Amino acid sequence: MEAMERQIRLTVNGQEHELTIRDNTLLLWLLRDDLKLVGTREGCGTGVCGACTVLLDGRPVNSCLTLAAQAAGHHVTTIEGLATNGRLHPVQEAYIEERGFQCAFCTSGFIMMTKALLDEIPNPSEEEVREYLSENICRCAGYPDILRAVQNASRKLAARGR
Amino acid sequence: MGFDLLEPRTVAEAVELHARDGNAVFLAGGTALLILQRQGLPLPRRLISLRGIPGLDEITAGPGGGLRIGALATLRQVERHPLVVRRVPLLAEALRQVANVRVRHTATLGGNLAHGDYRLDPPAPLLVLGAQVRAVGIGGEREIALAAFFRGLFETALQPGEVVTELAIPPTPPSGGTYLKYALSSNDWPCVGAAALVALDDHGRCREVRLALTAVAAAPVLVRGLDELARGEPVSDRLAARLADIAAAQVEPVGDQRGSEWYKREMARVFARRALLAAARRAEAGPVGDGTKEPVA
Amino acid sequence: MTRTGEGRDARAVGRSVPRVDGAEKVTGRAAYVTDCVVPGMLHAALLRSPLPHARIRRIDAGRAATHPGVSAVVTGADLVQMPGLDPYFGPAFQDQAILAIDKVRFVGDPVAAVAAATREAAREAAQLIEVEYEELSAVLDVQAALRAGAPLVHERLRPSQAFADLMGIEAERQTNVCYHFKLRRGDVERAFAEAAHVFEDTYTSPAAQHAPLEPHVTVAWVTEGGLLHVTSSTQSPSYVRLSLARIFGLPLSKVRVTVPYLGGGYGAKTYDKLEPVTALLALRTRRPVKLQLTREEEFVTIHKHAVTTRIRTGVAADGRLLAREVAVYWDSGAYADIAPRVVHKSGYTAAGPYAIPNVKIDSYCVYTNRPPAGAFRGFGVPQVVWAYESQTDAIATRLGLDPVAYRRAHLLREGDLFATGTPMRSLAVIECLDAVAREIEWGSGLAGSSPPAPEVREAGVPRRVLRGKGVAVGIKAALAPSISGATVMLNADGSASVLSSTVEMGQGSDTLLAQIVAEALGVRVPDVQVVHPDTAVTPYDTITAATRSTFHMGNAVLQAAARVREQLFAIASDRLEVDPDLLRARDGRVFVAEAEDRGLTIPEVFGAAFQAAGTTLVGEAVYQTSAIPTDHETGQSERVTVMWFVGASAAEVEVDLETGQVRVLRFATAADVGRPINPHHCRQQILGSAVTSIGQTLFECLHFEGGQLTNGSFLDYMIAGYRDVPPIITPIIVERAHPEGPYGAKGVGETGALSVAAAIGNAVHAALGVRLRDLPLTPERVLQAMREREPARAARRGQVERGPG
Repeated sequence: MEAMERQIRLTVNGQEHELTIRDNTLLLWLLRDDLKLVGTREGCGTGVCGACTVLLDGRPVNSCLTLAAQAAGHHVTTIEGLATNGRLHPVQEAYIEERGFQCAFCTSGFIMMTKALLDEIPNPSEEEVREYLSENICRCAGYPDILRAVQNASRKLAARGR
Repeated sequence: MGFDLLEPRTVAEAVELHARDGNAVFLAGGTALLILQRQGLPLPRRLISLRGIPGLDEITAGPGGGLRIGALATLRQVERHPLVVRRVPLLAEALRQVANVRVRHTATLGGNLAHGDYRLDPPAPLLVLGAQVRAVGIGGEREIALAAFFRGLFETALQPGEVVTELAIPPTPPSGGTYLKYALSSNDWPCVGAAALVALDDHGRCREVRLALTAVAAAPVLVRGLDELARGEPVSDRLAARLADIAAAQVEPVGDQRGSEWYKREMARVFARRALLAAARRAEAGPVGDGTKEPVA
Repeated sequence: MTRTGEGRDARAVGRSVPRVDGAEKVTGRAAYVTDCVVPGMLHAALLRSPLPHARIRRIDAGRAATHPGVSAVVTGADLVQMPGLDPYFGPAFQDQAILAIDKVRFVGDPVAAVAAATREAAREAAQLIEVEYEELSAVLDVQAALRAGAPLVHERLRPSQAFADLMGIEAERQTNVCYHFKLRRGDVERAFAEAAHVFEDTYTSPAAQHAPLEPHVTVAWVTEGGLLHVTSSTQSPSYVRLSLARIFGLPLSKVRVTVPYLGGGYGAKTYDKLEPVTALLALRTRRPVKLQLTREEEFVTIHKHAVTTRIRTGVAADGRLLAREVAVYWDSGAYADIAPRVVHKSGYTAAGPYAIPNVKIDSYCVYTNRPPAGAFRGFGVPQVVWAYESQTDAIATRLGLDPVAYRRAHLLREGDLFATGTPMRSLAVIECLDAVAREIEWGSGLAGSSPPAPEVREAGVPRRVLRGKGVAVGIKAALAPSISGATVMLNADGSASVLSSTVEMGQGSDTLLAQIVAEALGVRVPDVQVVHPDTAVTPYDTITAATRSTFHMGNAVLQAAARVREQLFAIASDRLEVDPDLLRARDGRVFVAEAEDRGLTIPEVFGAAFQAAGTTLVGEAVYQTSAIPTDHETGQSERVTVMWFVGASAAEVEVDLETGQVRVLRFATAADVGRPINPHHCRQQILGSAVTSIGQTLFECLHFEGGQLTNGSFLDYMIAGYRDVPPIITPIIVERAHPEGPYGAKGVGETGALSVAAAIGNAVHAALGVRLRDLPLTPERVLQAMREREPARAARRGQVERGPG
């Protein structure tokens, strides 16, 4: 049973795309299969692990629980959209410096969540970080390093005047 | 399997679309439906998306200190809205404990209620707040008290083809409220969720006590018969324990991996008591509600 | 916390240098198998058994075969008709068919495979396959499987020939026991007769899932030249090559296995999993085929063994451990996978690292109609530590002795004989114990049970709690015999490449191997490129698991680099007219030790040897450890391993008396790492395994009903998240250099996991005076145990709680 197809416009990492999608296409697969933005990854498919986090109009969502059709007309930011002119985003630099990753399958999601958190709360308390990132799963369990990466990124962004 | 996404621009159009295909399902945030699909539940041929309907996600002040929350407002919108934080901090506190920020940015309050899952958190605070559901169907619009809304496992008072459009929260008396979510690990569904609202009189005695529990029956439970015992009584551990016993007698837990029937009933008792005491403590510290001062953070 | 060599110096090892894979990983560009796309690639899906045990009567794949987009449908019946194909695989027994032949053995057993143009088409087609089953009675747990006359999961067994330690294994005939390890030392019965106290308990540890965020995924294709290329999320590329060559009757040279970054493994991705079926589909369709498991399928692919341990210990009046008898029952599920090795290696440590003259161990590997169990970080040791460290604590407590002091008095020391008769070497277990005890301030305040705490109120919520502290130690042996090969290439510009089959799965092996080469050749760490496993060019390696890579691959790479250095020095010594023994390499230069300005840059050395640019010097090495097989009847061996690794944990917990919920307030875990090559990475490994183990101690558990897994998704399977990490958690590096380790290093991948559960269980006992014997320590179990053990006290407490004030 084939779903209906439709044309959508979608801005991804600042670039506008006109795409033909099926109604049941998930945003995750649109990004990975059609746009080849494979830094966004599926971990659980049920919105729990956070590996597939992207920003939809600046807000973090699970791309595995978002229909591509629902994103039509909106702005999507993926991990590939953070670095500018080959320069890493301060959040990315902070994750390197604090080693906030090991196998790194979860890392794109953590970094996108960190960006969203710091956009919303520039100087979060430890408790606010824990609460915001509570349902991002790092099975290597490098949580303390990730906390330091978030705090480091917060300082970096403050120093650069955001 | 495929489905078609229909995108009406008005509620009337949405209801009309459903009238044409009775198997169609309304789609709000979509998180629950897409999970069900993944779990192998076949979705119908047509999904009617409500997201494109303008104005359905507005949050506005209601008369006399109440609130109106559009059904399509996301949980995160509600949780962060200044009116909600000021007038019903209990609701904001509960929503902060739902799933994760990403889900809360997508899932809607109306969708959450219509889903009817017995383990969801929002019904408990909304029950103690006395919320009213506004639903629109082909036959017109009606209001349903939330207390009469949940019927059983994934079963609500909504008729086929009816859409939740708005949630009305009446003014609350000056009171303290809390929502306690008890889970076996930090990211799990609740083993028990308990929402309490306690209003005190000028002498610090109970004027009104409300309590709702989630995850301990096929549907969320608004505990009845508390005021008879509590009204006029000073808040004490003994009173809270007696009220909690009443609550424990009204739940009908189904044992699952989060606890046997016995354990869940015990925890219903424990968290009923704790929620009542915590709410009373807040009521003493600085009640929120109708014309009173702002809550203590 | 020990801080090692983190000051500024020129050395590459012993320092927490930055990870070499950082930029790739924070930009999302690091490639995993899931990101692999090959032109013309098909997608595969599996149809799985809905029954735990059944005979396959008939399969009708007609509708699936004609479904739009479908290229091939394969069933077990097809396999037996394919000439030259051996459809069975497995590292211990070749007991698993690529697709079920004749019988299915667990809910989730693959029955048929489909390759189609899209994932959706493949999955839809798989659902169109009709299978008629004749249901057989199933054995759903170990008890049922061991019953006389129980249905057999396997009627026949064929040992695999892949590994020396597993070649001789024999299954018990006509039972579901596929392997029985026996250890006999001294005279246990006489010792029990002489003992002043005898302790006998049964402990259980449940099935749990690895849950790597990247599920299993394999892509396979066949080149025009007949090369089978498989890129797969595997921790054992060399073994997979061997297995595929055997299954398909190909020379080893015609099977090429490549492994990019792994999104976590933790033991789940060891040995063959999806590779045989994906390769089969690629050979059938002559097209590239990708098979990626869904999260739900991942849950039934492999898990940590559910274990029941009966442990009996005879103790002298003065506390000496006279005898220990242990029977361990491992639920291995429907296929043995690596279970016999788990049963053997964990089995022989089941009495613990204590001086006990009389030991009897029986460790049984049992088939059941559940999904297969296999390697999980710790390889069975955490399950037996849970038993022996809980009981050791119970002994100390019963004798009124301090649990730390008691352990110290009876732990094995250098040169003592282990239960296997093996002399112990390089064993810092007491140092680990002391370190964790110090960290949680053992002996101050509440070493044992504290008095009933006053009611605490958090945000107005009243709770009544008790606190307690506990410790535990654990020991595991490195796999032996075991082999690692490596090639090191030094380039004319002073950069270097390492060819190694060690898989980078997050542990930091790329960085570690680069550090070793940089140190040996005097070049910069970022200039060393570690080539990921590619069996066409990277030499054989036993496996990336078992805490073995630092020691084994580290040694291989170090020796290979030394061979490059010999060549480099030989050239330089001619030019500098100095004995090569007097030369050193550092900062990209070769120079005379006593006269550092007399030297050449690496490019100058190459210039002296070669009349071309871009040339290479190559060194190769194979590092191999040996072991003496344990005796079949007694389990004795003078050398079961070349390296022991030991650790200890200490916990301070708070138990909510009304809910039974255990919160870990403070946790310390120490590991003897030999010498750390990269201290930060060591701490990450120690802490990561501790946090995962805390989750397994408190809530992780697979639930089955009638053979059907009921919580196989992230919505229902609990995994430790940010807020489950104790507020204070300290990983501690303890250093006891290993004489054969590269720069003295051991390994650290699993050490932090060994003793966690027992430390927490012992702390719960200290808090409540109640000993829990079943994991996980769910609040309900704790509450029930409190009420059962001390009904009188619980009732009193209840009254107190309801009293005024």
